[in-house]
Amino acid sequence: MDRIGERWIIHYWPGTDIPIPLGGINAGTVISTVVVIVTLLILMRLAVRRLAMVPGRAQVMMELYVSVFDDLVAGSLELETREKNRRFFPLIAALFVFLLLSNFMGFPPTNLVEEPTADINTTLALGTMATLLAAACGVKVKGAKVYFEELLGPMWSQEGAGIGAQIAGKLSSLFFFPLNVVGELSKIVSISFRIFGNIMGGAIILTVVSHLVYQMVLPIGMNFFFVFFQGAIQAFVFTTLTLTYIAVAIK
Amino acid sequence: MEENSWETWILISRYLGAGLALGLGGIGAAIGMGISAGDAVLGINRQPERQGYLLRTMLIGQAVGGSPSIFALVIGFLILLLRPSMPEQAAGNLMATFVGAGLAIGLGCFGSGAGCGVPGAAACAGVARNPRRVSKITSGMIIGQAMAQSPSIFAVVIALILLFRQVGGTDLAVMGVLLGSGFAIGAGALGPGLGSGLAAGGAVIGMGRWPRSHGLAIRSMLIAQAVCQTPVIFGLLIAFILMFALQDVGNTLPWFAKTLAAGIAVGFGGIGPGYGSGVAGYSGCEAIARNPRKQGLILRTMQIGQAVSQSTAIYAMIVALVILYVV
Repeated sequence: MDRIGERWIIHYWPGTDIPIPLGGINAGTVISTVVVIVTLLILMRLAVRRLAMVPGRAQVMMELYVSVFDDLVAGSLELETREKNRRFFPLIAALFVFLLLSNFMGFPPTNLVEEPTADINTTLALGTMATLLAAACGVKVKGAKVYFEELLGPMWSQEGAGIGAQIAGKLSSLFFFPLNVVGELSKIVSISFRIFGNIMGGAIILTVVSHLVYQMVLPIGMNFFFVFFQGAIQAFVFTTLTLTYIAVAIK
Repeated sequence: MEENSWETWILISRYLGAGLALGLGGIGAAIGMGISAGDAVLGINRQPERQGYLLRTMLIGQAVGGSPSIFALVIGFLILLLRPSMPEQAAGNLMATFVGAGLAIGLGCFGSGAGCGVPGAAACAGVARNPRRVSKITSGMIIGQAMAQSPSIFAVVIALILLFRQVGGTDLAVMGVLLGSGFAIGAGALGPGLGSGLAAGGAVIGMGRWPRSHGLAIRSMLIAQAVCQTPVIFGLLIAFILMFALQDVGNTLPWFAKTLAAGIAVGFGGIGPGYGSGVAGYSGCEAIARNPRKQGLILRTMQIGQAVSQSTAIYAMIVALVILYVV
């Protein structure tokens, strides 16, 4: 119980005492991430194996999933054509199923399986990706000049103002620029720590409560709430937040 | 037992911690249940023949909204009954552990409990207006309340980590870390809990009045609540940094003040932004349900407003980091 929150990390190359650079490899995370990816590939492949005009159950599920996320992306981004919206569809849809299955990995009541999302490195990587992608989309749509002028604050470019107001506006960017940059960076922290805190928190609560009641009855219901309900909601929240970051950046 | 022995002091801190946990943690849930009951009474006044539906909705809302106080109860019992793993000479840190866990769970369950009352009240109003949609409104309410409880779940996690990773000795800096991380997550969860409850309330009102925008209301509610909860995530970050990532800590009074002050900065700093962005979320979710065609515009405006309202939480986090690492 005093090892709460610790994860399986390999610090040395196997068989030697040479340290692995950057502090080691999170073996549990890597293995369960690979398991998630392989499971997803197999599931998707099985679902679209026999495509038919009158679809079977698996195909209906896949079509539902694709059409729901297609509508979600189109409704959030509101670009001119459907093709432009669909550019973002693979990213958003894949992110959701990956996070969903990762969160569900907490279901088996053993310590052998670790949720990839209960490791801050996974979520921090995905959050950095989402934020940088939104910034890149903003630069691409608006142009680098407009994008950086927005970072410099609302008073950077005042057309038709007096020279004094112009200088005051330029000086105000000394105040606004660091704040805006930190605000952008804090997006990474908030999006990645949200899913990490919820999933890891659920895992810790489950461990402690199971220990206190000797694994009987109560953990089953709590497993349903923390793993399936919270896991699904947090996966969806991460996905929609990524989408809205992009939508805010390109408008 | 001697009058001034370590055991006495540990007992005193247990009483103090459990008192803080239950005393503070009960306030919010009770307020929230009262809010739901108020709207249920108004609804029964409006539609007396539907009192069965209304009573059921009210009770479900109160039961789900009452779980933060149950978290507080569980942690309170743990604080009272948990056997310390290192009894001898560990008094100072153990005392800080119990008081810190009490602060974390007490303050942390306050906000979520009160916040969960708002969607409960909105659901009662919606059922009174449109009794046929009772199951849809109830499910939306439960999702909103469950989301509004994640700040209190963060508080539970920090309290459990504090209680089960006991640190021996009497170290001023460690005491500061324990108290500071408890306060950071506790006070930091207060505003976000209230705010995400408010956002859920707006969405439930929207899905009650404009049934066609049910899915849209739930989606915008999740986004608004997620943004409301940013301050508590900063609190979580500072608590983790305090507990796991601090190095070269000296056993001195300045370090005690430093670690405690970082927790206080990010804790108090999160109250306002969490509540403020909840107000924005309330109006935003209701507006999206009313006018689904303009969802993109409303959502963007809401998000920008919430982001601006959250800048003070970001300043608080920067101040906490500066206290810890720069000065």
